[in-house]
Amino acid sequence: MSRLSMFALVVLVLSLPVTGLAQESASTDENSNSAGGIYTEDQAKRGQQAYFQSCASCHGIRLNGGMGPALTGDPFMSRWGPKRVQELFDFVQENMPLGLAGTLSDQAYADIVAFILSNNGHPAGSTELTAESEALGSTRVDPDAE
Amino acid sequence: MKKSIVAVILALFLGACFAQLEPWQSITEEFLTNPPASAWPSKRRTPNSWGYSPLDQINTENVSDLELAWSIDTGVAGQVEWTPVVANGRMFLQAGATRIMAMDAATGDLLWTYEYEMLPAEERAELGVGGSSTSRGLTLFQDMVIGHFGDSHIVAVDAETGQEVWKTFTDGGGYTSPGIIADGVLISGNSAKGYDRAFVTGTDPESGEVLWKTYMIPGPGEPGYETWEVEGTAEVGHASAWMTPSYDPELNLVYVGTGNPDPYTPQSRPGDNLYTGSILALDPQTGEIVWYHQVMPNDSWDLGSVMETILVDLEIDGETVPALLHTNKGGFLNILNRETGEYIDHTFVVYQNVIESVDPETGRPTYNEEVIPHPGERVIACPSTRGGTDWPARAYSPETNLYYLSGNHVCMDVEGFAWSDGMPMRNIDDIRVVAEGYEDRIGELFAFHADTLEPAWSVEFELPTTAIPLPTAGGLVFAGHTDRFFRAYDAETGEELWGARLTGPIEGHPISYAVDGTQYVAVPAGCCSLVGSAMLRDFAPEALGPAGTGSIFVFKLDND
Repeated sequence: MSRLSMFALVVLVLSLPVTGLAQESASTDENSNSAGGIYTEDQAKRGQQAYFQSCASCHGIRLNGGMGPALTGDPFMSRWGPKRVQELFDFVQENMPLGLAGTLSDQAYADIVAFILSNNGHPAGSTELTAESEALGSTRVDPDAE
Repeated sequence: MKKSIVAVILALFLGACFAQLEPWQSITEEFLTNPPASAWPSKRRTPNSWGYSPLDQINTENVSDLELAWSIDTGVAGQVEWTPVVANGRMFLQAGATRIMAMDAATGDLLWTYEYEMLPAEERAELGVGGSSTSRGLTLFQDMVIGHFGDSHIVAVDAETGQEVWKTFTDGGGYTSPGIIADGVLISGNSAKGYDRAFVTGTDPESGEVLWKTYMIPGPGEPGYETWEVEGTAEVGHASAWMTPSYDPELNLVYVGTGNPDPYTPQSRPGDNLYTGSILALDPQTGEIVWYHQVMPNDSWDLGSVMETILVDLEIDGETVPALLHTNKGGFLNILNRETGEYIDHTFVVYQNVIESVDPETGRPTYNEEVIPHPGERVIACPSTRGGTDWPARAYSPETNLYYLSGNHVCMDVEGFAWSDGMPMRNIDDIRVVAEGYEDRIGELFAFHADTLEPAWSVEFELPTTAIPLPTAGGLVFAGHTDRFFRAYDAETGEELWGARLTGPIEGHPISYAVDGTQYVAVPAGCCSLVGSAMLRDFAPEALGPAGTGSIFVFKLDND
């Protein structure tokens, strides 16, 4: 795989911090505790990279959809908002990427879900989300539903 | 004695069930080139890709008497972009990622089902091959039904038994459309892997052996490589060729179309980026590129030229021209000389704002620089990456000399991102928006005069459409729509003459065939293609019902 060294020549600079992508992402400072936050900011950054590699081609760089549905905004929240994050995690792991379902690691799936949550109003905290996190079953996708 | 009587009765009963099933006749290339009117043996019926049926039993006078002959639920959900094929009284259908079904074309009796075992997801991920469940048809040849699968395998099964005959792995991104037989060679177009170039293969249809592989982007030292001005860009430029080729046996040329260059934004890959967004004529024996015409140099909007070419001789300015008609995803309709690749004429099918002008000698477009996606600003570019005029097949009728296709007047509110390591190749954020002034007529079914490109008629749809036209010698054009209606129109005027509402959005390819003198019209129905259904989700989610499994519906005249 060529990794395109020539792109160093590109004068346009990409700057897409996670919070920059979030539509309504709650900001967090380094000293915040996990109250209300079921993932960490670093994890959401990892999740962004994993999302870019495996999801963005269909769901869009800003999660606005494309070939696949949007993962933020009203249509997404009306379908997923009332559901537990566990359901979202399971759905993603069992169905995505389309045609390659289940091929990412548990950690990558958790990171991607964290990135999706960061773009849907969930604040970051100090505890990472994992496939075994209790928070998966106790948290709803819509943060305002809690 | 009793046992033998039972056996005789059983044999008579089974014989009655399958009495109409004729013996299998080997499918020759001559049969594929000039099929009997009763057959629809390849995706577009004939190698010229007309998608036209010479049957006229069903016509403008009696089409209102159509009734359901039979139907079958395939049990397969997904993108129902399918095309049944029919020969020797049998219908074959590739449904989804792994299933091929054979049916009695007159009765719908299921003869056999073949389930392809796709490579496990982990292995596909390791190889970099895909796993698309999109399937748009099958290739019939000799005694074989040949399927092209999403994990880059081509598989031949026995037409009478469904038993696997051979299987070939070509190590590409994967197939979504069937190949075509040309001069005894199976020509198949592949999608590119994530960071790669796409290719077209020539395969020995009797053994599955790959005879040649032609990359759709030149390698170092090959002509055209210099059109990727930044080192390293050609090697990952994609140019996927995922549609079924066309073939002219007299010129012995195969015609393939290619997709857009990657990454999507053009700033990082200056140059024309050959052979992306192009139509290529290949030698079927060697894969050599005989000529090419680039429709969209250095494309910025994913408006590729993958779509099928229609090969037809046209009277232009008093001369008979061996022409081809081709409409790219942007609705940029071109006529070329299919012998030389020379540009002849063009028009625009749907609303667009990306092409400002077209060179009258070469057909080369000049772009509207203001709508090229770039960082830091959103622009409105038309059409969207969904098209325009995407993969739904075009058609041509020699009766009317009209060229039929559907499209959508949809734009995208788009922002581009500078390429960097870790960025997806699709490095844009695009939100579909209806083109201004088209809010109440997003989709449209068009008929153009093939020689002048003047509009003949059109049918406007409130909803986005994936209508695929089926012109027939009965003076009809059949086409389905996302509103679940399968309709028949007058081929000359576009007047609606008949309709039946089916189970889901109609985004598959309708065909017509005959068995024992009875004409049938068949159409797949079911959600969820990435054109019509996807845009229903954008613009009219209330019209998009639950995503069930795809079915085939077959109609014939009510003779009671």
